[in-house]
Amino acid sequence: MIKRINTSRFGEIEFDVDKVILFKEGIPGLNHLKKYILIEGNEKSPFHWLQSVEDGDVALVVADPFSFKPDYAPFIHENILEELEAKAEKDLMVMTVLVIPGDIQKMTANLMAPIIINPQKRLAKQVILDKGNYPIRFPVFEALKGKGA
Amino acid sequence: MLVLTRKKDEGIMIGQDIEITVLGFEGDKVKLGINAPKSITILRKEVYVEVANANREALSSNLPQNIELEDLFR
Repeated sequence: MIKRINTSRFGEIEFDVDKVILFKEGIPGLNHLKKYILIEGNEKSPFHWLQSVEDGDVALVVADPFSFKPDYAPFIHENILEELEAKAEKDLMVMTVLVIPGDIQKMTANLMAPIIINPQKRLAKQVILDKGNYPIRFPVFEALKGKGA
Repeated sequence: MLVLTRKKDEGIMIGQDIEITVLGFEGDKVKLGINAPKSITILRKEVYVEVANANREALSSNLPQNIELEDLFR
């Protein structure tokens, strides 16, 4: 079934309800919103949008954390696999929420709380890692410079 | 909010699996011991609040259209 929603980022968009990703608990700070769609950037883009389908004003920029932090290794407890109805970690997609201020050089990524998605079951959760000591505001550009990019 | 008064070495149970014990006091600090299943995430509240703040802040992220940025990621 196709539905429509008015969004502040993309204007009126259509989405397939079968593609909706369910965050059973919402995400911290936005606990009342459970349903999002992933609007993927073009093929070359590392950036995607998580657009709420319950509140058109709510959209988050997310990115593949491994693109700028190749050694990122979030520990996913098996309980989270269960919660997301995944058999193995490889079935899961890991995304990180970006905060992009006016000065883009100051962009940060929340590596402490990755968004874990099971694309098959369309279930997701923002997991706050209690191990690994990853920062909430990881400076993306510094990491890219370090990479020699 | 439920308010309980406990002495040192006393505890509370939350459900059947989560046990919180008051281990002691040092000045204005309370030391708590927590027994809970591994599957339960235990966080200092300020960490959760910080993640919530970062999420709300992320709502005003701006992705510029002329993204040379994308090249940087490759």
